[in-house]
Amino acid sequence: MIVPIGRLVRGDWETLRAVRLEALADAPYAFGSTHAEEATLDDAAWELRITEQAWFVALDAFGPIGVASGGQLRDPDPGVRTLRSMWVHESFRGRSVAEALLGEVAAWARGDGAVTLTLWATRDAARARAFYAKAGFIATGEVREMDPARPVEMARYELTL
Amino acid sequence: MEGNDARRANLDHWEALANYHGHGDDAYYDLDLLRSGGTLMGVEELAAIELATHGVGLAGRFVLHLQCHIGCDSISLARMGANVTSVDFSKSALDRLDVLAAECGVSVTTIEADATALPATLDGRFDLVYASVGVLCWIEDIDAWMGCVARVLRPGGSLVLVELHPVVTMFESVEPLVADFPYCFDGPRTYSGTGTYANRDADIAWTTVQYAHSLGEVVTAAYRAGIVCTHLIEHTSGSFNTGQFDGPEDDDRYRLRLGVGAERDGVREPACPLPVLFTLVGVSAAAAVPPPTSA
Repeated sequence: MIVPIGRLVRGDWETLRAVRLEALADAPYAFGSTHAEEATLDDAAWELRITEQAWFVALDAFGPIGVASGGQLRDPDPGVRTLRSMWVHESFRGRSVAEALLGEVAAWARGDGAVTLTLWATRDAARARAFYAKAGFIATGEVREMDPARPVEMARYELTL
Repeated sequence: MEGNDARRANLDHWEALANYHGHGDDAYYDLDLLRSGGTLMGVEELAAIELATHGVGLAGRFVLHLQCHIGCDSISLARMGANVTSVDFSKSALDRLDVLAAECGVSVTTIEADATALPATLDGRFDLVYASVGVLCWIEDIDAWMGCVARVLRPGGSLVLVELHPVVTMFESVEPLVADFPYCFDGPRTYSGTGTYANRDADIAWTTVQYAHSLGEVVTAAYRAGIVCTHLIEHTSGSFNTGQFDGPEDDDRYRLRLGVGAERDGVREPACPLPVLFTLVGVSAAAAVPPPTSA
């Protein structure tokens, strides 16, 4: 593992805010949200996110260089968790940071009783889609638009844990 | 010459340079500029720090400046907000740095040590190790150098190394073209001459022992030490005279052009430039790659 990975806990909202906004600024095509939307969130909203999902960050000596989260936000099936918000700093891509982050989220999901990890990848996140396929995710064939205001096609992937 | 004799000769030389540089007689060490708040760091070093810290900067971070000489860049690192520790094997150089730091109103900790034998008290303490230009040719054992870097970095800490490219160091001069330094490691090479790299006319006679390290050897040493390279950049121009050139080109940059380029429409183009500097930025891996067992 190239750099240490840690799980965010209550009080870490500034770290989450910094890395999430950096991700949204760096890869606006990849997420179901925008920098403009999230830049206005207040401290309490970021803290709430930490309690709603399991957030993992990869850290070098200067701060976060990668992030991913796992949650059960829209999955009525108790055996399913969703991987979201995956991002790795450009300098660290191709260095197994995403694998390590995915490993942490998968371990969390298994520990939380899940048997399936799912995710939605945008059409334009080609590198991410290739990574998920290599990591064992299977495209389910389900496709949806991100939302009416942003007609970006997203495809669902699933990994059996 | 080799071993302790080589170290002694090199130390004598660097003691002389420490006393000579920065008194207005050389082209590199404009200490008045430094005292008035300027920096002597090149664009390559500044860009490397930006990459290593991914824009976060050095405020409040612990930085080790290796082979700091009289410490001009130590001052600049301290001004970026870093807690700077500077290492050199020359006592005179560190004395100069202590005075310079006081004049500049910054605090720098100085430690007299070889870069390949850093005290264990420094282990795991640094967010960044910084080494710039003309450091590796004085090191015989590149694995020991990288091993020390890895030891003093905390997990996730970064190395910033900006160094003369091994292509340019091959050449003593371009006119005439003299290639007098190996590209790869070839053991100790003894050289004698007068002057310093910052003033060829300085009244300093010297004998030194230097060691070549190819780019591949440097990167391999980093990998063996558990430093994962995130950036390896080769620069085909530099902001200072690496010693082979009469002067800079029109854009004030120095380039190594050997031979000539193509003739197009009756006009002979200049040769494409070769690399003169390289930047290596790497991060100390949380779990180091074990070194290969020696035979």
